[in-house]
Amino acid sequence: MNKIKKSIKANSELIPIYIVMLIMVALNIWKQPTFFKPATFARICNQLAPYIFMGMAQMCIMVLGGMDFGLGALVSFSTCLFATYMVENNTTNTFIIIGIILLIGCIDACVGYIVGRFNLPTIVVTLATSFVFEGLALLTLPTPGGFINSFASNMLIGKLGILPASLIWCAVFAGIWILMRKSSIGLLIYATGNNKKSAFSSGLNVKKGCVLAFFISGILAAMAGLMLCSRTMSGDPTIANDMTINAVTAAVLGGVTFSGGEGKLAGVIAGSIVVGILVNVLFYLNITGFYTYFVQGIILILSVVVNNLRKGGK
Amino acid sequence: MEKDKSLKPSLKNLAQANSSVLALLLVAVAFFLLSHFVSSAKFSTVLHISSFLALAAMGQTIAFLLGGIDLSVASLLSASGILLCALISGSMPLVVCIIIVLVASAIIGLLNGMGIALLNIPPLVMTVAMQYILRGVTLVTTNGKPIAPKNDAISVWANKNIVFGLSGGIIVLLCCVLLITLILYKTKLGRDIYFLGSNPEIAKMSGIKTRKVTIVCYSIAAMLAGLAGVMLVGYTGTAAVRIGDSYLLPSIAAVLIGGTSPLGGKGGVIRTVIGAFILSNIISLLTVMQMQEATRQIIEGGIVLLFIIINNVEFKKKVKANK
Repeated sequence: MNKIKKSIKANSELIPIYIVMLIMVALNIWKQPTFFKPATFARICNQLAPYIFMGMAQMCIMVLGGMDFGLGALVSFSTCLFATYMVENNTTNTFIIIGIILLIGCIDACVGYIVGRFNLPTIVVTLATSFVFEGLALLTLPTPGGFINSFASNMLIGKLGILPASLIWCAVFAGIWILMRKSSIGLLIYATGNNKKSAFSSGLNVKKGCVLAFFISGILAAMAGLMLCSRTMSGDPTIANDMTINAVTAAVLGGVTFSGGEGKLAGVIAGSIVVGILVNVLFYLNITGFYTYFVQGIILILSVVVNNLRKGGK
Repeated sequence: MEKDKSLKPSLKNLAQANSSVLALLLVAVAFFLLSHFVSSAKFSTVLHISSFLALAAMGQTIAFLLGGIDLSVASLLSASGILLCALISGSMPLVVCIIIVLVASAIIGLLNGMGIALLNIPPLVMTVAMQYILRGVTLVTTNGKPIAPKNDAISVWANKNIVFGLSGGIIVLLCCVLLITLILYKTKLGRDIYFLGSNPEIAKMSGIKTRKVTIVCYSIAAMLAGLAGVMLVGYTGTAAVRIGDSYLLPSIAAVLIGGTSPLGGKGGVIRTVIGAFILSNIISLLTVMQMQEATRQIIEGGIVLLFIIINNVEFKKKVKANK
């Protein structure tokens, strides 16, 4: 009993975002009464999965004290790679998928190396690399299309038992994150973000922290890309470019600060669900197309302001 | 603004203090000669084409000097162009239209600055959000279609040779460079900007009105971006929602090529204008070489990365030399 009380106290800052999440889910159920039917529920899970993966990826970088501006472009680039290089043979295909995920991780780790080695502001570096990734995506797959193996897509967004597969994949990666957070890797990343100078002077390898954070972020981005392209059954060089800002909103809603060293997975997942469901609800409220840009901007500003007020009140 | 060891104003000292600007100028001349050789581009044409980029990048420079960044530049460029086209369709004289556009963009900048200074929103996030808001507004008002002004007074004026073969666009650019340089080096506001950029904590403690300076800076930055949009309409004769998007990365690249530090407090607008000129030459070279849009994007991103790294290494060397 005491343990539960303690954990509630430790996570008390997450209560508001969970209330907001429940309100959003309730709104969605109201607008879409078939919410709990297995097919609808699976579809909503599949819709939310990319948001959750991108929110987690953005959190990795924001914990470092930066912000990844090229996340959306990296996700688009990964969908292009998947759609271009997937094959019919299921076994070979699995290896290809793992290879591409690791490749994207390594590419992002290179960005992390540049940030860590030269001690550069993450924002400017990722802004530059975002254009590089956009270009690479357009070179691999100039127009939306390509081939997605249906077995792989079924494993990712189909059903495993009674639960939607996408839910299970999110849970798996959340579990890996929690294990890592408790290991020395997580400690290194959080310490680097909290105070670069004191982390460096207490003998931590700051460069390694940057590279690792970007590597993990890249792998999560590739997972988001995999979810997106198994849903559309094709690759698209611009599909996720506008989702960068959503990932930032999700992380900020989840209580991640811009100064770094802070951020809880449970909060970010709730934030991602809010952002993802919001898109769904806006669709049912007939606020679509051109207005979404406007709404996205306003919500980002509001979430940062609320976050600041909450931190200031402490 | 490097400090000289001896304060004697000799030609040697002056050259030493501005050595990096001189080096930049040499690079600019080299690139111009290269593109002149390849595509027989005229100096005034290249300067005119780079003037929009230079104006937007000057606004970006001011945000960089504060240690911030302005990503709303792209949408502001499009939005101001669209607003100008819509206004010219009425019966107002051109000057009034331009003034209204500039005031409107200054108001957007004011909102940016207020979000950053009063609500403590990081500059990147505030300006990105503003970019999305502006894009939404312009998309809804224009329905996503390009829009052209009813008469071509602006095009005639912007492209006409006024003096010494310089077109209206170039003269506007030169006036802005002069004005902003004067503000940065000769006024209290300018000194406050450099001080605030190099050390916000100490600047605040020594009584600088940091909030006011931030708000004014972002307003000026937005006004310059708006002016860039106006001049772009003068050159192309149309405005569209996504027209400014291709100026976002180049505007940052021009600042970094010029050597203004993304950490704040170091740099100036003249360097940025030279940087914009270099970048325009590079872009036109790539176009002449018939590069794909995708390849061009990769090269532009690569250039930005290269220049941040070079700047940073130089900066560290200077710190070491001073010790």
